Amino acid sequence: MVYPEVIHGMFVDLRSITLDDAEFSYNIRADKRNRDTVGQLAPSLEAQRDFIRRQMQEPNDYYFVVLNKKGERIGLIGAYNLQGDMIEVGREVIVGEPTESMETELLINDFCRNVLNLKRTCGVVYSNNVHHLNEVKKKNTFIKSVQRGGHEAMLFEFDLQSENQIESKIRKMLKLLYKKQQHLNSL
Amino acid sequence: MELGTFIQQFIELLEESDAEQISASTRFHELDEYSSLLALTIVAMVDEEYDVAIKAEDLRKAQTIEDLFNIIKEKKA
Repeated sequence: MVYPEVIHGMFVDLRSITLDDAEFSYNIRADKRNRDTVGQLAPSLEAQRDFIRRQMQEPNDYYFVVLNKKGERIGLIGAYNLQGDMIEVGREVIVGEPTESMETELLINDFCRNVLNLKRTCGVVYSNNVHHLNEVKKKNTFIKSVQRGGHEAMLFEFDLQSENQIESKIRKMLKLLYKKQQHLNSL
Repeated sequence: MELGTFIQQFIELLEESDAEQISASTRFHELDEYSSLLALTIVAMVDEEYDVAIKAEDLRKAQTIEDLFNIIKEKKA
């Protein structure tokens, strides 16, 4: 499914993936630095193109390219597997500044909350991805251990309706850093 | 800028690591709790305390807390 609008943030923008992004998405997912954090890799660039082609037609499946404010592609994130009032967030891989990766997660949550009008998101993190797992545990509720692509993983849920302290803290930090950046740019 | 003060400020950002185990030579990327969130928290702390903007590349280059301190000191000079 193609969400027609660009989602604007302070540090990044999200726009729906297109077939022109196939090579970028294949390469960033295949990059060995990201292999521990992303799911099953398409066997070829053509297979990745086919995946995007199918994804674009799939109802309630959103796949975004993350752009920095120079317009450079720095990552991917998606929301899919809609079930009732909950959607899964994942396919995430970002190679950018900490401000950019953290804002991407806020923007996808805002999209699920404000555009899709959902109450919860869920996500799966591979058990060997210790660093990301520790971060996710702080923001989300652990539901159960699961198997994904033959790997041990953990399923988490995130309540979009209640005020999350970590989310508020991240928003505050990002706003302060953005203000500072704007101030420096104006000098 | 004092290394001791910086280490203390760094420790205050940590929620799970044993503060007594943290020193100038701590390889902070290897801390279990190191994540994008902690990286953002470090960036925000350095910005607020030292008025220095550090980038992901600076965090990548720094192996230890002292390395990071030296990068900030260099940028501040």
